[in-house]
Amino acid sequence: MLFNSLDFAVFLPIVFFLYWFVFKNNLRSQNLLIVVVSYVFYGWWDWRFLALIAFSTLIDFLIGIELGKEGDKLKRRGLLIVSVLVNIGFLGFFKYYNFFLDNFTAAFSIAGMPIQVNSLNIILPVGISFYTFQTLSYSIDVYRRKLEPTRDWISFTAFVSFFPQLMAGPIERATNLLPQFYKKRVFDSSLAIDGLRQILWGLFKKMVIADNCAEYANLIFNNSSEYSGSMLVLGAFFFAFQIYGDFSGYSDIAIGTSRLFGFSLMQNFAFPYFSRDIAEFWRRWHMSLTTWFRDYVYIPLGGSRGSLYGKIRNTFIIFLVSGFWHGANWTFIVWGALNALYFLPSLISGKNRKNLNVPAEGSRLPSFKETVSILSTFMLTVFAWIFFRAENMTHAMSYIGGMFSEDLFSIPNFTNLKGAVTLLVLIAGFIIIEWKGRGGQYAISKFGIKRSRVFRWSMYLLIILAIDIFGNTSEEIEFIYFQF
Amino acid sequence: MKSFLNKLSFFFIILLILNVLLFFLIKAFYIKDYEDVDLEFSSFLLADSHGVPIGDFSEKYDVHNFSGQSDSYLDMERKLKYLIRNSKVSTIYISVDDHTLSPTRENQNNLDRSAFYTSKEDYSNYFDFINDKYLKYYLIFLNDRYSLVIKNFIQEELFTFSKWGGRISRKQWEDLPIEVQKEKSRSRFKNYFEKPIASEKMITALQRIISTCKSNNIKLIGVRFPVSKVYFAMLEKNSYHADSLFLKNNILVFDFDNRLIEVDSLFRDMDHLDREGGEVFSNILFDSLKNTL
Repeated sequence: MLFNSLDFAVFLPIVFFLYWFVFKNNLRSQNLLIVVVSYVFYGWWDWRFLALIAFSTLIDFLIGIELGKEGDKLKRRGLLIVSVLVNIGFLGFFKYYNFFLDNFTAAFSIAGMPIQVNSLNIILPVGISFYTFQTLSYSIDVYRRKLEPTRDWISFTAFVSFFPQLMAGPIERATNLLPQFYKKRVFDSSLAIDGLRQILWGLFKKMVIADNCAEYANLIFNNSSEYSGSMLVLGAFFFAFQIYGDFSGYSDIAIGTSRLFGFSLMQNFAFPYFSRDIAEFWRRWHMSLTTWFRDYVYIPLGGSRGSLYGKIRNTFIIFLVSGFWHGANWTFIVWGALNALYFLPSLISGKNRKNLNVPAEGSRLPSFKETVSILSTFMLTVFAWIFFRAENMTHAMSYIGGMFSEDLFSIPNFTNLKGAVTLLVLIAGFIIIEWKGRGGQYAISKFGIKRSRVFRWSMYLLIILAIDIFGNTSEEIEFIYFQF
Repeated sequence: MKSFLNKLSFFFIILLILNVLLFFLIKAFYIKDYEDVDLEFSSFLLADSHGVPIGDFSEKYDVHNFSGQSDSYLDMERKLKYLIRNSKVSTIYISVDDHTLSPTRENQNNLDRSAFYTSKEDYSNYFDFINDKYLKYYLIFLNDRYSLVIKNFIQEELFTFSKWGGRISRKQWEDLPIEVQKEKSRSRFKNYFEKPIASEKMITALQRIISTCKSNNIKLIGVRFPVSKVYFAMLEKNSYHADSLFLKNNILVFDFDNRLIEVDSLFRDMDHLDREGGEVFSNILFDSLKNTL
């Protein structure tokens, strides 16, 4: 079920009603309701893969209990390895099997020993990269004794399958989300209103910005050989806004929906395109994944302690793994490597934690220096997105080659000029709103909060109108991160 | 919870008021003309945008022009049934141009507006009927077409920069260089003839129109509208052959597609007459019919 579908518009109020009116007095039945509706939500896409979530849930639940009971260090480590193997095994099979197979056969062919192996036609279950990481966080935290193992099967199942963030995150830590299932939820009107506001903003990002940018980005990327350098630059620019609007829009809807049910999820995006360097960008982009890798991979590897060589090695590992997490394609690995390269100068100079505050904090506009930093970071990011979006490495290289051709500074030639101009105006408006709201959890979280209700509501109506008029409703376009 | 629900209800009421205001706006500049039909007539012309330039010139010949921009055969079928229910319709002139069975018409049609002409009998279930006739018709947030109309209006008015310094009239078709005429014709051709096979939905709708007319003793006459010289040459033998469906059923077809190819001054674009062309063609069409029938 997609957040931007009519199905969800019917599903959400029904669940809200059942949750707060029918099952409001019983925490256990509220959690059970979450499990049932989450499975319905997921099964709407493909019910066959429900067994996979159920199995993954069962394994980590049992391992958690055993980890709680077991005192022997070796046995505890063994249990953790089982959890990691099961979860990464699922991920490896569904996501990476064909990739490794293709690369092995290619390697053998290059070595002069061609082998014949048939690849499998495997469907990637939606959300597998997200919920496996979420359950893994539980096992690891219980292993590290940071979290008491749960014996509440329903709460644990609800934690793994919680429908707002099941398909594409935020990847929640068990330490944050699981305890919320133990506590009685009391309806908080202001929290719910904030949730609705965030859902509205998420829908705007997805339907107005991302889906319209997708139309141009897809057209340009899919026919890149036919376009001039300037059009290819615009194609990459549109993709940058497509992926941001799409993924952060999803996160906003997920977080907003959770708030309606009294849950608080972690922030996943913090205005990444206003970052002043790449290190800051990675603190602001897909924060739940970045911090997951930081806590469970980077720090155990030694993090930023030790020699410079160690720091550089760990940085590359983290970015390559992060790239590979996105998909079984060399383009994602190169995208990760490129970001690691971008990151290196600030790491070596020790300035990677320089920009921790809000950009242009306390002023309306950024200083000249900040503007240059923001724009250059953005351009580097857009360049890296080309690898992320390209079908394969050949496509990426030819796209970049075409971009830096003699017609790089030619006037872009759109078939639908009015549509393109409209979209650019919408993006400009979007950037202004995001800039004004950059101090909040999401752009409109504090917008007009000190003004009258009439002002605020007029603004909400305007956003609804913008979604209705400019939203791409020709088809329900899937969220990009569903494929990861 | 009570305060939350109160606020939510109040917000939805405001949203509903906004909906009503926008509906009246949409009604004024998008729906109103489409619902304009004179039921006193017994002969009607059903066509898409090709029939629109005829305007009310046909009334000189006692034929009411019931054409609508982008009307598909599904829209025309709804209109026909409406006429059968509400008038003494005896003759229907209907367009059977090369493109009218195009798959493009499945998406570019007036199903949102022609729902006005439907009744419960036209639907197999109540849900579809209520959804089409009332929900999508009155609730602007559920109707994608209304959104598109507003979007196009905004784009036209705001982003046509030439309008900012005063309205500049569109160049006449005849004044355009031949290369521009060809380019525009190619784009139109591509829009209609991208797929090689005709739309199954359009074919069955046209077949239903034929059988409905037969069972209600309504005389049905096919008309092929004039196109410009450049577009005529581009079409060559490309056609989804709506007319052959008529000929198979022994229904008369009047073919005027090359009748005005030497008079570019009567065209507004490659395949649409202008107002003057509409008057000229109306006379040609109905005089020919008078002489033949």
